[in-house]
Amino acid sequence: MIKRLQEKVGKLLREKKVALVIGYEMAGDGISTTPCFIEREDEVERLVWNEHCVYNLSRYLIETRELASSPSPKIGVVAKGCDVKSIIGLIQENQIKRDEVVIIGMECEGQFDVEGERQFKVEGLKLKDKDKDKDKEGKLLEKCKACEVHIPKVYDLLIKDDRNSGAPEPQSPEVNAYAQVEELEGKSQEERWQYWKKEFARCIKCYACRQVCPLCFCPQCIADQTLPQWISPSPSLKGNTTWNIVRAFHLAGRCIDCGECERACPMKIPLRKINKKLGKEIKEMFDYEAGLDSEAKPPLADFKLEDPEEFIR
Amino acid sequence: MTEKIVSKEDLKKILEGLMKTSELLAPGKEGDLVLFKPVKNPEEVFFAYPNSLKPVKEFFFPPREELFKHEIREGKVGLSSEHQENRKRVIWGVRPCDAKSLLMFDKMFDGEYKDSYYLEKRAKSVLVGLACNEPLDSCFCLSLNAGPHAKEGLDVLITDLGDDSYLVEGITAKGEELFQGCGKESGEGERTRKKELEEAAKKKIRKTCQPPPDLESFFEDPYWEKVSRKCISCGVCTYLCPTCFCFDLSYEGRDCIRFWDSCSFSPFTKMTSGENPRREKKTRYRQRVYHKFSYFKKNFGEIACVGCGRCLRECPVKVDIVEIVNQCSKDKTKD
Amino acid sequence: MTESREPNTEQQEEWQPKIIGFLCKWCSYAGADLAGGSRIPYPANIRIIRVPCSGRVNPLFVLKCLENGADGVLVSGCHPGDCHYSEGNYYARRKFAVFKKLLEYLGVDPRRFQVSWVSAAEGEKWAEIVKTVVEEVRAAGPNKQLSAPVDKCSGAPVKRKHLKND
Repeated sequence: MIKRLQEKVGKLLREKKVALVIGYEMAGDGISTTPCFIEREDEVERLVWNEHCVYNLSRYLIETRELASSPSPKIGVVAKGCDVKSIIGLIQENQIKRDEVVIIGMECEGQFDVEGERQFKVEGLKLKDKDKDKDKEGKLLEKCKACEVHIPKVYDLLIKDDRNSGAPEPQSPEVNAYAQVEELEGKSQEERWQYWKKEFARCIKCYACRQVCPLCFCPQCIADQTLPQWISPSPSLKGNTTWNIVRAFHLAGRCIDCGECERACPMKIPLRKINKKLGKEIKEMFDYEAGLDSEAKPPLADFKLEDPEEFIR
Repeated sequence: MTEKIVSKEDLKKILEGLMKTSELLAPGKEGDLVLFKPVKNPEEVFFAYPNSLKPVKEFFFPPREELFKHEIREGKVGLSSEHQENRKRVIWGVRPCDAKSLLMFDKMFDGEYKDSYYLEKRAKSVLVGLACNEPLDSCFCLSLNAGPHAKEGLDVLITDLGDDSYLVEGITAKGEELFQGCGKESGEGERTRKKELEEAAKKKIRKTCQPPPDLESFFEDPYWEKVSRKCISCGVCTYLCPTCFCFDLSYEGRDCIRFWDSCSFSPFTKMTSGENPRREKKTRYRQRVYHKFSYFKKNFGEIACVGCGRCLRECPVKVDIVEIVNQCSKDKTKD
Repeated sequence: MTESREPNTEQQEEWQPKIIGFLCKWCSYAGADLAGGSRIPYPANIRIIRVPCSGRVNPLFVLKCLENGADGVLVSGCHPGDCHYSEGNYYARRKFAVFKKLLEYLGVDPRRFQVSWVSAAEGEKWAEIVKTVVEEVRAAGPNKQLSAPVDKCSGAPVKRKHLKND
């Protein structure tokens, strides 16, 4: 798979179809990967593909879009099925143009965060003795368990998984994607508040959740505004709660559930659980799912006469 | 300097005693995270961890601190400020790298300018170190004049010798005081064991940080653009860095608040006029590198990094500052 | 940014809910005006902020009110179809539907954030809504969730020292 990826990217660069390809390369630790930017054909050997390609590289598209010119060269981006959804989101919200990007779609069997290292940090050296495969199972990203897009919906080139020679796997998993959300919904109001209070109290306002998000592209974030200072810049429960609500709400109907915010959060606040809840409500109320159609109107910039209003007096 | 051997039971008793006489902070588990927190039960004190997620700087330089408050008293405007109780505070289980970082804080907050808020907390704290027997792949303290068993900045250092026995080395008087009247004299065997552990730990640290001596000459190099490209400009590395001390002030109502700030953020250098000298990501990333490896060294004679490796472990996109600093001279010659 | 008033002895005796109302200029504000003009009594616990349209109300406004000590927030606009800007309240409806679900999910008492449609002719309805909202918020008690005092980083007790008084 890596060979074919490198060949295709090499070809794109050689034919000057792309000015830059955003992909994955091995990180210094020899296990995880890190984003890389390939501009020359002789650099393609840096590109890798494995089960640790967790990053959503579409985050870099806005920063690099000035390098693109239509019709070519364009910006190439290595994207998993979930990442493609955020590319669709960016196109939908006029942040990039479809003909400015070459989507190098990857067939993806699910990603494993190098959570091992995190565990390793807690448990000391115990991890090394564990059965490696079993451990891998445990580390499969939560979002991947209910993945419906092992093969991206939109792409210019598709790199298929060598292991799957036959027909593609059935793409509708039986896992309930909203299981975690529903579990929390089942709790009492006070329990929910205590839960989130504890989680938000940890927030250190590093804004990694915002910075890593492919759809957080406001030129000036509301959190950075000082006149008035809407969101307290210092970490305190009050300001942390407001920040986390505002962050999630700005992504309502836009979040494509790549889970990057939660992964990036050093304090491990379960941000995906909030985003997912908003996605669930929007699906139920407005029958809309983000990241599927670049022509669709974002749900909060749209309305129907018969929208639900039971909550209104 | 005294050396003692204490058992796990002894340590528990000491912890119990300290809980009563002082404010005791030690690493504990919070979900998957290891964080320093007030000890409620000595059983919860956690020993088997490479390092805490957040460095101990938060107890001397809190992420959010009220400096003063405006008040109206008897029709007049006055100021009042909060002071923590002057009770002894014991921070238990500090890793040597973090202890060293506080010496850098001292240079900043106890140098030309004396920061009373910092000094107040510093004066009442006792740092109980825990030697590092299992450094991580991302640790690189050895190349920065520190080490897994370094004593610099600590009041007392505990080494886990295995078999439930601990070697306690008093470093300062206030550190020794904590272990008065417990344990037994250490023998030759234990001292050798400790040396072995130290050597073994040192061997595990393979990463080295070697900034080029002429770092200043690369300031305008396109290298910074290249290496900072994947940086997402969040504050993880700076907030979790034990030596980063940048802060900002703001008013929240009538309270003047000091809070952590990060040079990675674009508004960090934004001026009232709207001008921002570090608008570009590469200039911000370069600032971080230069502040640590050049400016701080120029001002205080030392590199502002202790090699704890938090920035490498926690970076959401795995930016490796050590690699970047080490590579910078090589890259220059190549071009 | 306003700050929550420190409780004085009077307030300690009997706590009164403090509610902020964001009222659309064209319908609800006029409706409230009509209630006043027609001398329909309703509780004085609500402080009204006039906005051009219910669609103008950013959820952040609601959060800021709760953060700064309000016990409840009421957003009121024109009935669907009556919006002076044709469709502002339709967007507001979607926005608040989602926002309300979010607050509930986070465990914020749902009584603290309410939405209503009140037309310029509905003075009676306005008075009724205020009465109900005030009673509901009263039942919910003082807002201790989002307006909780700032937590201190370390558990160390603090004392206050006067620095200057001249």
